[in-house]
Amino acid sequence: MIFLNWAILFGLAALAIPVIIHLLSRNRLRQTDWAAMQFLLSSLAARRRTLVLEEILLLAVRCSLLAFAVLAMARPFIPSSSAIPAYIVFPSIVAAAVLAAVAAVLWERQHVRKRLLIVLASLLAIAGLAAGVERWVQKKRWGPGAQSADLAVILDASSSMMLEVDGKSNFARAIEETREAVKLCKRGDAVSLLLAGLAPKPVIPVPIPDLGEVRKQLDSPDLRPLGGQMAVLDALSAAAASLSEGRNPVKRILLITDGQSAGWETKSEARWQFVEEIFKAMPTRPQFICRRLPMPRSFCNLAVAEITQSRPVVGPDRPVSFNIRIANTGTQPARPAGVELLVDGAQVRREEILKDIPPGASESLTMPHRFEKPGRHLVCARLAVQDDIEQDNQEHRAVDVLDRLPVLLVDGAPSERFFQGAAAFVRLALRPDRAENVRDAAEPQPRVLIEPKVARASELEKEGSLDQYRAIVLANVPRLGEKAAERLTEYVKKGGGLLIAPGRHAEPAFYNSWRAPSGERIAPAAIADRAMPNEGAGLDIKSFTHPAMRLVSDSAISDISAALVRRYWILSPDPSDPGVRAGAFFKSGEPLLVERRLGSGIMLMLAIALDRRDSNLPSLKCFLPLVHELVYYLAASAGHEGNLKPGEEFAMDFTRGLPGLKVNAEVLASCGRLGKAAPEIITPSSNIVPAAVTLKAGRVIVRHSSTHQPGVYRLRLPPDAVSPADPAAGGAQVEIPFVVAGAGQEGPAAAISEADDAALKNRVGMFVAGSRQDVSSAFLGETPGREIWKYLAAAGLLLAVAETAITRWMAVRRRLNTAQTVSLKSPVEALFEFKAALRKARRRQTPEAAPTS
Amino acid sequence: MKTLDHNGMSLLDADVLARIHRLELVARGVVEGFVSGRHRSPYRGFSVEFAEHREYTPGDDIRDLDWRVYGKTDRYFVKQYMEETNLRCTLLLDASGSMRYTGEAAAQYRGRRLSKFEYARLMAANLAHLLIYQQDAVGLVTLDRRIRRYWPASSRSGYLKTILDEMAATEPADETALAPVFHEIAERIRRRGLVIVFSDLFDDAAAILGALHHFRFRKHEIIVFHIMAEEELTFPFDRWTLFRDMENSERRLELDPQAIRATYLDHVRAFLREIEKGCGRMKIDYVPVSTKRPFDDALVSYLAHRRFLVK
Repeated sequence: MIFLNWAILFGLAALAIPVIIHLLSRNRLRQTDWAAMQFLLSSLAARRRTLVLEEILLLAVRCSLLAFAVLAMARPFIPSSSAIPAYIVFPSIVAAAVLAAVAAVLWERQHVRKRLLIVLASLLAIAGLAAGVERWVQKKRWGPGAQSADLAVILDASSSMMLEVDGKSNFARAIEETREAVKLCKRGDAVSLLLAGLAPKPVIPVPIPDLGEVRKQLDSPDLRPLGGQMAVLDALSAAAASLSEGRNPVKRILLITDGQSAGWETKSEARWQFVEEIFKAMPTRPQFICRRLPMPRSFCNLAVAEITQSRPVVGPDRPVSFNIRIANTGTQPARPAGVELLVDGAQVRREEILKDIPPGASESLTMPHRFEKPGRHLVCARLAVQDDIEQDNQEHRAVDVLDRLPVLLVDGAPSERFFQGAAAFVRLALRPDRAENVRDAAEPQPRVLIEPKVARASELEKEGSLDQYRAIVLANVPRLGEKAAERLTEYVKKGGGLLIAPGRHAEPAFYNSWRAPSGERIAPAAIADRAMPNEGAGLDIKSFTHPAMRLVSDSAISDISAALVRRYWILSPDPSDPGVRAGAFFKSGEPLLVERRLGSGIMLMLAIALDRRDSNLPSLKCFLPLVHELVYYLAASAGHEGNLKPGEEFAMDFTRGLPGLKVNAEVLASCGRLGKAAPEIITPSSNIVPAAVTLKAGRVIVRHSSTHQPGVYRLRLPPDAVSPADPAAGGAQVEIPFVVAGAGQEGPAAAISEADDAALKNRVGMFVAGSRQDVSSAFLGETPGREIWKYLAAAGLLLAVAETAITRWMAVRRRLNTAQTVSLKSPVEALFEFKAALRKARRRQTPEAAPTS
Repeated sequence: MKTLDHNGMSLLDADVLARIHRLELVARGVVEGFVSGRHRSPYRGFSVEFAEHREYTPGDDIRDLDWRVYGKTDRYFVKQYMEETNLRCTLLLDASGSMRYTGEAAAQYRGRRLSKFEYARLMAANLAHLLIYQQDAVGLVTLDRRIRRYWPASSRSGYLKTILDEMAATEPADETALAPVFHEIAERIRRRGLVIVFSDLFDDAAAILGALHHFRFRKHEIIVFHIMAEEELTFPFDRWTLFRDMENSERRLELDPQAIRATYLDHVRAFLREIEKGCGRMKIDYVPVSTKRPFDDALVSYLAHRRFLVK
């Protein structure tokens, strides 16, 4: 609590007035000798305690009344964000007033009086100190408002901001309040503006003093919610970064939000500490004002939270299942009329949910679909529902359907006899229908996706571009030449997938010393020793955590428990390497499968060769799916990422071509230069922005970094650079879709708690402005808060009434004006009067009664 | 009022005496006296006042025959007469410290306000004169928490001066303990007579009544003049006051009189009521008197009323 007219507080000295009057009235004692002490003593005995209490009560009310009057005139003010609780200052002063009254009544008891006065003085000191400290803190916090300021405005652009309260969406309200905040800016103030969604989107990245431009941006129709949830920490970091570019001494962050807890990550101490460090590192610590807008108490909303596919690599050879998770982020139970699956805009499936989804819960559906054509397809899961937020009723996913999946099998131990070759069983597993690996030219659309090609290890260096292969398997390869090793390393770094299956010919020295030019190890694990257990080694199925092992680990459908390994390499992965993990183990505890991520690609290393010499795996039914899963897993990393997170850069490498498209890399590389049209990006809000084309180390990459808004983006390419592979498609302009996900990921409706508010207030100095006045006070250098003099004045008035009532009550109790004095009437006199009256009465009667003689 | 040379005669006032001598103080009941006086003797005999008829028995004086009764009844009856004797009256004068209280409202006599003691003394002195004038015997006991002086009743002519001088010489002091003193006095006065108490009765009411009952047991007639100051009856103090006990200088009370006035008056009222009731049960003439009223008025008024009632 602070006081706007603090000088008036000296008027608290008036508390002494009733005390002095009381004491003076006692000091101006009349003294008298008195005889009837017995009656005085008996009267006092009956009333002594009550008398003291009555006096204390009356005097306390009078002192408190004065205290309230003085406090009200001093204009007490409770800051919206108090450093010291208000219940220290105000009650201390009132308590001091009451103690003054008690001390006055008990004045003659020196001991008691002394103690009371000490406590009284202490209370006043505490109150004074608390008020002084609060004033200093508030001045320090809000005082600099008078100087020029850089203001970073963060608008919550999450899905929930589209909810309407009193006929207006919170986002519209947020823009209005931002306009008001801009109006409060003085000459010299600079403003930056960010939209906070899953990734912060700078609208005005650096604070600018041109407030007209700021207003123009606020009026722009492009300023709209991004969807999904608000990543508060990222937004604050971005705001701090923008403020660092400003030149004014005062830094201010204004976050306007509806206070949904999703995205605040209040439990993440480390991340908030990081933000705190950022704030501290700034030249001036920013004021962080969080303006909370009201949320509707009740609303109905279903959202498509996510859509995933059952396999990373999809081909036209078999269906793929889409798992759609529907979340109820509203406050009421609801269910959609139906859930639709659309592929490239056409509905292919519809399912129904039979029961309501409770608030905060989610429900999942699985819908299979088989793609007919290769290429990039846009899959959409859509809810047939009318709810309060429409934006999150659908979610997209880009799916690359491959026309072929070429795999290079490097045979380290070729043999004339087919099944003696190291790669034979793998080759057979990958393409069981043909012994050769050649794609039948008479069939432009192969029925089987995987196209394995076997090459000898010694011919690897002569092999053409490795980029054409989605995965490469080193089957019992003893060693590689330097060039071959370099090519493979480069292949993996660029996104390729490599499976090393060392057999008896493998040379540990090579694999253990295989390093990149930068010195990092290439092989996922060092090969330590060769194990040949007498009884054979079993596989620990429960340890199969790698995604590629998931299918075969299901003992209900897999016979891998019958696998018996006669020989294996003891692998030793580096536990300190964060890019390495073991995904399956032998029963003896040694790793069976180790993965390493290298660059954009993945490397898998088995402890066994995939032939019959090391184990009986090739004779098991699970061998085929195991090999497929390993290859698919590796092939997925080589894919073009069509599904991004907000803020993640879109980068499409056209060097290796695209399924279903013919790419002229040279033409594409020259786009945007020499007058040629550049590729364009069509954003979810239908804006068209140019995309960047980069040429590096022979690779042609198209990039776009502004992916803050969730939704479907389309990369439009010039026809002469990229065209459909199918001539029947004509020369239509190619648009390649990619998806930035997250529109439906805000999570269930829950407001941020008071405990979290308090924690954030302590950590980053967050001030929660509950009203526009609070915001404007903060901007103008005034302490936001509210005056409470009216309440004190009302309380003082009540005390005045109470004082009158108590005085009256005491007068009645003491019968001040009604007590009758003692009148003396002698019984003798009374008897005399009675007898005289009787005699008179008899005399009146006697003349009538006397008989006539 | 202190007489310079303890001259008790200065306590008498001619005007007052003139007023009260027209009245008389007659015993209600029978009293034992030495000589013939105004008051009925418990003993039957021949005197002036007719008492009752008795049937004639041989040997009675035929001069006492009531011929009127014979004429009515044809039977012989003789008249009986009251034997009158004198009254033995003992005045009990409370000389405790509390009797020193004067008060602003006290009646004035000879230019100064009377304390309760002076008031009582004047009443007692003039009443003593009336009794001697009636040829009754008068005694005096001055007391506080013990008997100070005891002058047995006597009707000697010079005795009045002795008593009056004693009264004049007495100064109120010390504490009050009426009940035990009354008991002691009741034991000392052997012959039934009249006991007149002049006191503020500031002691335990039940104890005082118990002591008065002792007198009644001894067949004394009692008159109690309960003398109080007006302030004691009205408690008119309105600001913080330090009350100093007149009987115990150590005891002081500092308080706001307004706070306890009503309770104080209730207590006084209850006290008076208790004394009055107790005296009424014992057929004691209870005369509460405020010093605000002139003493002679109070005395004359009482004597006049009593005379009327006793007749």
